[in-house]
Amino acid sequence: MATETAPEIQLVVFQLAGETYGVDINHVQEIIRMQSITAIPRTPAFVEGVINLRGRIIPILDMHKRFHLPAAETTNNTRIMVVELGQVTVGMIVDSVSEVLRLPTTSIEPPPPMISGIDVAYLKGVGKWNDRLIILLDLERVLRESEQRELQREVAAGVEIR
Amino acid sequence: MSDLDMSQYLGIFLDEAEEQLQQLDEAVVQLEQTPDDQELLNTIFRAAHTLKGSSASMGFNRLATLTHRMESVLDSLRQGKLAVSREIIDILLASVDTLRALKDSIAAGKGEEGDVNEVVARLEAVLAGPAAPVANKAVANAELTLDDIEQNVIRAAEVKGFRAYEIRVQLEAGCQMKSARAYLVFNNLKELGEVIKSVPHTQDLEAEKFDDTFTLAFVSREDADTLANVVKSVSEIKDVLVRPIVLEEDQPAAARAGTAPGKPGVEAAGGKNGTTAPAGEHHVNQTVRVDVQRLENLMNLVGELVIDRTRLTEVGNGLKNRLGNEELLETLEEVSLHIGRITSDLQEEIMKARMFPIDQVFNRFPRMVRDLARKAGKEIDFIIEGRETELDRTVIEEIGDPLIHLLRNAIDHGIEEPEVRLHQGKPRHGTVRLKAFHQENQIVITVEDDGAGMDAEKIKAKAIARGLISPESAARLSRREALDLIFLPGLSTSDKVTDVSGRGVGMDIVRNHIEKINGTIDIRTTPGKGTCFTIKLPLTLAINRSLLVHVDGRVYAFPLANVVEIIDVTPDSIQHVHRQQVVVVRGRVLPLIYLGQALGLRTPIPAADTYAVVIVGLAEKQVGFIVDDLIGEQEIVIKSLGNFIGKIPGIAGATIMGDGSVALILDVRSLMNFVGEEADRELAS
Repeated sequence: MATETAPEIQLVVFQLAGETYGVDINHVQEIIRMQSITAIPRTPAFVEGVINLRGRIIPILDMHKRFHLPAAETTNNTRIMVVELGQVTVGMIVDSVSEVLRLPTTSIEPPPPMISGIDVAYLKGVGKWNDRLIILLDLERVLRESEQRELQREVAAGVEIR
Repeated sequence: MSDLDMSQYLGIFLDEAEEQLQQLDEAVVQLEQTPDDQELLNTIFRAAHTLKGSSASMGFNRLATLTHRMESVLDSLRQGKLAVSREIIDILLASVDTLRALKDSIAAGKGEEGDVNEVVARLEAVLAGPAAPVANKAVANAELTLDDIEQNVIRAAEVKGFRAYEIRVQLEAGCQMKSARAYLVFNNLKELGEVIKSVPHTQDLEAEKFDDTFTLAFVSREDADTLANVVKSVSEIKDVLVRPIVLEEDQPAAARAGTAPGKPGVEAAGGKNGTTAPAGEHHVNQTVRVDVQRLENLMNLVGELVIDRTRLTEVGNGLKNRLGNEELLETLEEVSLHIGRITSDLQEEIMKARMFPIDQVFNRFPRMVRDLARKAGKEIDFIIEGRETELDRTVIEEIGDPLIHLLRNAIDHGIEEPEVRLHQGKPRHGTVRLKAFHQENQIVITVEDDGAGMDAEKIKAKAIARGLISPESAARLSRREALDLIFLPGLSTSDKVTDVSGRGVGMDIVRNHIEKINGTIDIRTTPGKGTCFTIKLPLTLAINRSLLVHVDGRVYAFPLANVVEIIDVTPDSIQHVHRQQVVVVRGRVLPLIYLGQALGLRTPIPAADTYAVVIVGLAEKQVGFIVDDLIGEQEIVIKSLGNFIGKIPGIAGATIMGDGSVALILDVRSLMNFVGEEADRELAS
């Protein structure tokens, strides 16, 4: 990843349950408004369902549920952030997307043991920017662990059904 | 090779010939600059050799003759017997030009029009040149010519269903025991037919009076590949060329001998000059080889178009409702209708481009059946019908394995030993019939044998013995349901286990394969009379006709292939058998379940005066799904839910509706399993 060598990293900054988060812009495909989502039976609660993104079927994750944060209402600011990581493309529902900014890598520190209820394992670090704290999400962990959970669920369901 | 095969392969042959010619052209020109480039010579030789082989197998004798002579010259160049000179390059290039002229004439549907004698003579003159006349004569001597008596022998053999082949055997250059190798070749071939002629003569072969090539005229019932393999099994053989001998007078008939043995000469004889091309009169279309992925992409794009077509119609209808009859709206309607027609045509054309004749799968079966039958000591007539039936390549890829399983079963368990058959008053020879045909929007493939058939009671007993079902539930099964037990994993219908089949794996895999491609499989069997498996497959996997329904405010799609019928059921006609909801439809007990419940939704069945019930069938099993509302039939494009979500029980994928929303496609098989298990579990408790 370019972030390792570049002196600064470009982040898409979004809000989730009152905290400010950031993800590497390279993984963000686009940001769209909230739309009608088709629920899929027998999926974990954090999988809201799927949407049609110009002919592609994209799964949508509710990040509140994903991180066991208190539920939030859908507002005018609610956005779906479509992220792409390897073979996986998903949309993440976030409370709002505020800006894109450049953060010097030097101002990134390892995550403190506990932040707003999110497991540190999902975090890459914390960036300081103009006295604000930006929590950097480790997308790979977030998505991969979801996938693993999917797999477990699938196996469990298979046993149950058969 | 049959007529059909020929025309099917002609386009490919022409494409490849053009490639080889192009290569020859370039390489020969290059050779003039770098006459010592051995690698280049090899390239040229290979191109000529490939062209020779394919021309011969297509029956284009002039192409084959000319390339053969080129090969001889090239070989001499390779071995240093001749040196590259301007003269030789000229002749080679002239040969390439002549080849191209012949090829173009074939492509134009005119057969091999053009004279090769002049170039052939020039090539021969080069070979006969002072460089190495003796060695080259020996090679030339290996050419096969048949006199009248020999030709008559071949004709007589053809009437009896034999085919005549020219077998050209080239020993490795350093072969130490040439006569011994030749003897072994003769000996191996003797078991498969008869050598009519040998060039050089057998005495010369024995005395090792030959270069490293000899040619045989051979009659056999076997195909060319088998013969080539038999010859190749002898060591120190460098190359074997087996091609059908086409006698000049009855060329077209002989070319058909493969499909209609015993009927040579029925077709009108072609010209004596042997220019009759297999393509006959009709013009050959130019073909382009296209990456399969491109076709897939095109199909996806058309899929998008299909969706938009539907949307356009919906928008038009919406506007009409709002604005009434406007002139502009009428135009819009016209345009959208037209787009609809074009989209349908486009879809059909692309589908056709992805279609292959099912013979691509079938053509390997005769050999397999023959081998299996021999191994099992059975005598079997194997009949294939409908080879030309076309279906989507995605379906073709999936259908081979299930068919192999079914054929193996038919041979191993279906057809009885010859003595047993005679004892039962049946003909010694069992018949296995493989048939493919179109029926409405489906492909039907049947595998039928006139063997022992299956006994439903025996199958039940076996399933009980294996602990697959309880005796109680076995007793409740109808005959058809009992037959369906063979699709359970771990149940074999045969008492004995052979290395071919009978280990209890197979039928469940067969059904899985077929259902994976939205197909169905049915059994009809009569003990003592035989068994017939009927497989029904969709024409394509990419676009599917579906029945759309509403449940819990969402749209779901049933693949229409699985929908048997739609009925209305009043709540009071629903009965409970062991806590399973059932309804009696025309005397048949049909398990009922609310689709929402089958999908694991928590919503209860909404109250209604009548329920719409979609009866879904898979093999012989039927289940009724109660839905909130029927929406209608629609063509949908199947899309995967992607890696992240993966496989969800009950859901086969998603599709995009006319309004841009997403509907889920139901996986009928897993839904029905769920219902069955649920019922069984409840029955057991």
